[in-house]
Amino acid sequence: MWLVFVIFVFFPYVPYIGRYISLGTEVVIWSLFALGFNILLGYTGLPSFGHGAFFGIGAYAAGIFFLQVYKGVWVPLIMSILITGFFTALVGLLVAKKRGIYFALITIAVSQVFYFIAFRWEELTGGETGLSGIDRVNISFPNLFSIKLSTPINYYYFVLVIFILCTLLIWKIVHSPFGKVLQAIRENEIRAKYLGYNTAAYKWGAFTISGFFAGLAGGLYTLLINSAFPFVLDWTQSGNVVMMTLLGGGTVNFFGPILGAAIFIVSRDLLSTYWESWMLIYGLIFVFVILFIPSGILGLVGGKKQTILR
Amino acid sequence: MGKKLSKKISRRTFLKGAVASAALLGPGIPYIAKKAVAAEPLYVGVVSPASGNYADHGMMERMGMQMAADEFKAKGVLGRPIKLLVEDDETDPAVGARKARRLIEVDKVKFLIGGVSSSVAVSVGEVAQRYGALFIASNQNSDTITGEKAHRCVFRVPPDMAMALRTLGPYIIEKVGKKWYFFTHDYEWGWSGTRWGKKVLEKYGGTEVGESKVPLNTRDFSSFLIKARAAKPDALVITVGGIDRAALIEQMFEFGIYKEMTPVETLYDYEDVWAAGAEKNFGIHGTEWFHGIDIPAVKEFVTKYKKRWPAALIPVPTQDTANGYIGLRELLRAIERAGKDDVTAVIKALEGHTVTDSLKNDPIYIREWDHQFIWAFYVVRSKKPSEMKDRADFFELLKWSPGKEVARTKEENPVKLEPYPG
Amino acid sequence: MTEFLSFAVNGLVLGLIFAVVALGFTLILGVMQVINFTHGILFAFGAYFAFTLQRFVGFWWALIIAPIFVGLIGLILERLVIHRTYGGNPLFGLLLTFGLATALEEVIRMIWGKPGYSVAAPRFVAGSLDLGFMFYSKYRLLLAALTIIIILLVWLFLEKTSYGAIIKAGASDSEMVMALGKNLPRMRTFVFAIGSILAGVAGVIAAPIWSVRPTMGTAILMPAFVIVVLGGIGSFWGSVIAGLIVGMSTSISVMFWARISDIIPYVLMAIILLFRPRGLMGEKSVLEV
Repeated sequence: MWLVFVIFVFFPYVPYIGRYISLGTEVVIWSLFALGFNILLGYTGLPSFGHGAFFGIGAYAAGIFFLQVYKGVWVPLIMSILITGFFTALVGLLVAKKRGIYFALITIAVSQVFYFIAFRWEELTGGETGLSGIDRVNISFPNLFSIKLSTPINYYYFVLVIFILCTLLIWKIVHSPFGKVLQAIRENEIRAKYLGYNTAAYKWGAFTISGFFAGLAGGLYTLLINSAFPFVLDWTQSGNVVMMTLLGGGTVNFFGPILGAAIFIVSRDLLSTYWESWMLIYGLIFVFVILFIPSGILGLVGGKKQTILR
Repeated sequence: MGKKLSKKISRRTFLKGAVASAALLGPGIPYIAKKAVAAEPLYVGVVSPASGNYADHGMMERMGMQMAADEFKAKGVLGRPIKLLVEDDETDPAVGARKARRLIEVDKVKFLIGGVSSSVAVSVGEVAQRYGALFIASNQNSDTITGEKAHRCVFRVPPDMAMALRTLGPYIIEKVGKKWYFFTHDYEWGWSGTRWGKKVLEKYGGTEVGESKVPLNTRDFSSFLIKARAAKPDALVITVGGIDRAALIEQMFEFGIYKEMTPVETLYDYEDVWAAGAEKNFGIHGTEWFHGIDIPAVKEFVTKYKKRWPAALIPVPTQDTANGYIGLRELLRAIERAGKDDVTAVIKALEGHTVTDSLKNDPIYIREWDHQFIWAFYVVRSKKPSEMKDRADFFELLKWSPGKEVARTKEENPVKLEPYPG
Repeated sequence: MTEFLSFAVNGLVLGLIFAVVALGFTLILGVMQVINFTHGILFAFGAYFAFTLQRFVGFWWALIIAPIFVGLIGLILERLVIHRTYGGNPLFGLLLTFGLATALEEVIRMIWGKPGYSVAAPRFVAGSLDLGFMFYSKYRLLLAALTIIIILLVWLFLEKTSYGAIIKAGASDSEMVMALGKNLPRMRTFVFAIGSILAGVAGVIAAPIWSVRPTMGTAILMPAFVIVVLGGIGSFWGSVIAGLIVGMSTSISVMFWARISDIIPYVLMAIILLFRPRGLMGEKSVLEV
């Protein structure tokens, strides 16, 4: 784990890609999102196809709070966590009792509702044009020092610190007794139920926790791009985070989502720059991964058989 | 058991680290290659849709930009060759912003041009302003780009909706009728079109018999058309664009609506007429430019286009092509005038400049206080298939207004631009 | 009030198009448990083929030939790629078809180019019908007739033929069908082809009123999805009735508050999933557990 952190810390100093800091920040943010999401997908075995909506709620929460209430850094971010957590908890109540295809279907439906709300509720969300003008202000620790977050590299490290803390937190969660029960549910929910566990409550918990991280990631993303757009709530974004998690091997390895996020974001950016018909390759990569490396890259490398939910 | 497990983990961790580093380093290599080959070119970033709903518009504007770049091939600008770095904005403001940031951060471009969707232009404009780069919005018509979201670092080439409706409106009142029904695409651009339309109506004593707000991504207009028909307007004033407009045109034809009222597209894009075809071409419309304008400059441009792009899917240049061409050409000329590739100097070289060899009936005045290109707007009539001289001859020119007569005044647009960058 | 009748008819017609698409979708979902994201792109292929064919053989022949081509595409996709995801996590089928749809949309752009196209409806239905109490387009009435015929054909197939009966059974319980010893892989390929043909036909029919663009498939994919869940996975009448409901609700909500017309189907879907997860007419299926 420490190796991963070290790589991220030194990333900006690597020549050439080091210049494209905001891409690196994006990788970190999506890794955070994917890691949190993996609690649900990889560890609990619940295929949510609507998490893009929670990312989006977090993004808008931060944006709206910044523009309407308080122009800070911490407050909008905290609001994005809390508000997303609230909605995720609500939705979680709806889905906790389901699994498999029905689970996936409900999450798609719910995320589409949120997407349309973001798209159409112009007054609140700015509609198609989205919100803009969300600056990154300085953060200061009273009596200590003040950091200018508007420079890309400072923001990168800020996000990185948050990421490291969250990763440690997620690690603790999945390795705790709670996490173990989640895995049991993944392996065989009925059996877990017979053992006396209230599986619905655990599933709700996993769902909500993953929502908190999604919201945080969303808020950080808004601050990164200084705006919020409805497109992040689209179901294709939800598909993207699932893909990232799978690609890297989230179903077999804790760090899979990080690797997946890195590869996904970087290659997507590169592809569309160098080839006008990049969507073709992009789609084919999806197909390739699903068919040939369903347990993801780390699954391939580690030689472990795919454990995912049959 | 414990020992074996830890060994396995460390091997895995190592491989993980290796793969992760490779993933992060990988992108470095093409950049190194790119930088080595290009000696001292002047880069212009093009952020334009190649996928998504406006892909066809994006294609046309890039063709125009390429034509402008070709003109500078021999001498270059400030003695340096021009290199266009093209990125696909996917008709998505988040992607557009990301590409803009990448062009600025990684490729170190200082000049950006493009965007077809207004929301993409707004987000790219913001990035440009933040980083002190110059952005020429080549094909957006929403008022805000030179209004509420105007920036010192953003210039806009095509006319805004005020110019459109103030040219078109009086003609419709006079020749079509005073009872108007509005179709408003329910977002920024749609609202601005209808807003100015209502102002014109009021000024000339017309009546609004109804309005329908059409949500984005509407495919089915039958309900809207039925409602409009019931109001019995003279003119159906439509500010709806993109793929929604394509469906609307099909359905206006399908219901025969055009026989009972005159469809008026406030801003008709040639790409959409072309897609609809000769049979489904009806009404009186406003348009920024079209290839049939009877001046030598336009004829020459059309000839140049046909020569440069003989296999083009649309055989004549569209307004997007003209705007892309003019936008890039004037940017490059401004850089020449400024004498250096400093953004502030180029901005100053653009502000207040008059372009005499424009592609329209009047010269272009680049207004300094809102960065709007002031030039003509046109009113055209859809030709019947029997009147068409060739397969691209969709329009007949009815009237035009010089830009300065119809552009917004300072009272109407109290915009304040930021101070110069740097 | 004449408007209301026109709106209602409009909603029904819209619903019929949705129903045809949803039928294909629900069969595939029911029999193979694959959430077929390529359904939208197959719809688009139908329209594009119709556009190309129309110039040579006219509308009616295009109506017959284009869907066959689409069926072929579906067949190839299924045989080459999709069948590998059967029996596994539904997520994989979804992601796979999602990837395919993305790639195929680009293929359409590469073959036909980025500009849009128009398909002409048959001449005799040009224009509208003003019956005083109702105003409507003739083409849409033709459309309604065509879709009703198609739905009837599908119904006949499922109800009256023995093969159809097996598929109908398989749509709610494929394990059972397998146990009966039928050749499952071939049946699945067949079902996918039928589903594709249905999507393609809908594309041809909708082309003259929706215009032909590479992104046109996205407009029916989500509604199809909602309809199938609303109506019940694998259920014939479920798809038809839910299709009509969604069509009507979209059309009528435009009368009152156009902005939310898109959201209503999803809200309906969410409600159904909560209180009656198997849909209006679905049967208890393997999917539910």
